[in-house]
Amino acid sequence: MEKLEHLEFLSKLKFPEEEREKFEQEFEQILAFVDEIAALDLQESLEKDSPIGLRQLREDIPCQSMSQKEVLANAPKQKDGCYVTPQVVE
Amino acid sequence: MHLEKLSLIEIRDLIAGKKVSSEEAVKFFIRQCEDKADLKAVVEIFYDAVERAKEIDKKIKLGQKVGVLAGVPIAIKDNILYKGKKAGCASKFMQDFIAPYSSTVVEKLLAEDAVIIGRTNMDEFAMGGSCENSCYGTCHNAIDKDYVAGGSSGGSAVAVAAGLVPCAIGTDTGGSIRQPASFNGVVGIKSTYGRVSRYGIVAFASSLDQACPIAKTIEDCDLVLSVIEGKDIHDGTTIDGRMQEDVKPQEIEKSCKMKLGICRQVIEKLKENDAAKEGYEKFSKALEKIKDKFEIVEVDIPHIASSLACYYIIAPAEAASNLARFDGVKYTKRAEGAKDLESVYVQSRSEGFGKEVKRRITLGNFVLSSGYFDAYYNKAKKVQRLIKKEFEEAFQSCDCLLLPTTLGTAFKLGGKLEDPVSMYMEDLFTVPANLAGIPAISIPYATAENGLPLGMQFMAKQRGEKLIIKAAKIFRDEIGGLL
Repeated sequence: MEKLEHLEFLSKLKFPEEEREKFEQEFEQILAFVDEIAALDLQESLEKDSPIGLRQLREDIPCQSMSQKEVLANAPKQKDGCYVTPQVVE
Repeated sequence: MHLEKLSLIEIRDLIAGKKVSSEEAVKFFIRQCEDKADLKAVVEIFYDAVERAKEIDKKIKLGQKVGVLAGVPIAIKDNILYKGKKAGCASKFMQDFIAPYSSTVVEKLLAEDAVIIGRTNMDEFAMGGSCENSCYGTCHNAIDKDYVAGGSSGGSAVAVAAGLVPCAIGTDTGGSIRQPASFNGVVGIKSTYGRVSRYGIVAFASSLDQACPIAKTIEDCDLVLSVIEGKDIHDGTTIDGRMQEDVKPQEIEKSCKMKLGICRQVIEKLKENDAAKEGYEKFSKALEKIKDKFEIVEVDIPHIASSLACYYIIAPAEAASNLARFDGVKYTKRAEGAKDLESVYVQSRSEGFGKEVKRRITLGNFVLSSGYFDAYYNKAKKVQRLIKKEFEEAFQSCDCLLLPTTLGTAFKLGGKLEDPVSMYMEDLFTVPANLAGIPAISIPYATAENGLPLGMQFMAKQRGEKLIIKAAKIFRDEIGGLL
């Protein structure tokens, strides 16, 4: 199904063949459930909720951050202070 | 001495009065965790906690000033960072992750001399209502092992209920503290959005997440929340002010009679739902018992029933973005044999994430995708605004809302694993508080025929934690104590 492939692309996921049909079925059930929102008739003037607090940014004062060693400590592969990945530039 | 039966405050006072040392208390609860390992509530015991307890004992012995949680053992959910300890989010993807810094919540607990003795089980990345989606295995209900613990903070609730620790910190995005607290017969609170810093807590849905305590008593929850609350420069969404300052002194005086609101739409839901039959009976009986102590009023929150669908658009949308960082490069396990960078991402994420997490990421990307964004995500944000407004209006005519925490008691293990929508229904009465950003508390108040507890929930306007705490205490005293 085209939709699932598109969602896999957006999500950086790949579902194995044997799981696809069941996943799609369950996904459709969930969509049917949240469709209640899409079907609601709302006043045109109603605004979106906005997150609290974004206006409360702190002063931009430089402060101590983590060291390179600490930042890399959880990386599955690292070398010379960098993350290692397969080659990305020819 | 049966420390497992005591509240956090009682244990704290015993330690302060030198009747029990922190070391003894910590060792006692570590033994409890070991003896009841089969519950799978605590996934790792921090044995070095004993050394910290000894240091606190030394301070007490020398008469030095100590914090309000001096020497008390506490556990934290597996998504809360404690420097140098693992924080795995119950995901095989994150199993080896070691926290490079501590969350603000942990810093604040430590500053008050609490002793963190372990991390608790949860649904992977806090997504689930049963604590069955965990790489450590299913956590069992503390009262009946054949039933679910609830989730996602199931491990925290079971740890408290089974006497493994007097208090545990959980996180609540859509009910993840209150529902498991209710299922295990303990008290769980969720604060006003922004009351507690989210810094150092692995994000699920950033605009809804709050970390808060689960404990045996309302007073314990109040105390621990007062320790972890507060403005934090590391989290721009935290609010100024403290719980105690946010209410007028006369409002929380015991003599001031409170107005409790009963939401008509909640009652309709209870009446129409077969699973809520017993819950509704118990709820009505409790209401009868307390009617002299409160003024009971009926209120309307017309769109409260749409909260659930609204939540299952907003939360997955935020989760899809938040979980994009788990890519097998910076942290998390990398899949073997990936040939290029794209395959590193796709293969690592496909192998690493569990079923429910993948479901929510996919759903989140769907509602955010071109062509669907307006119909789902934008619309849900508008409905959220509407729900928030309706709550504000309801609180014009009452101090607190009273409603059950869940439709019924805990359900049998495996009972809803194959039916995601029915699992999502577990959050029906808890998600509205997250969407409205308001505080809510769940307390155990009745036992159902299957022997399992039912929880009662109180909600108040934003910053009204002290109102729900006061109402819950009066309610508890009137019905003759908690379970």
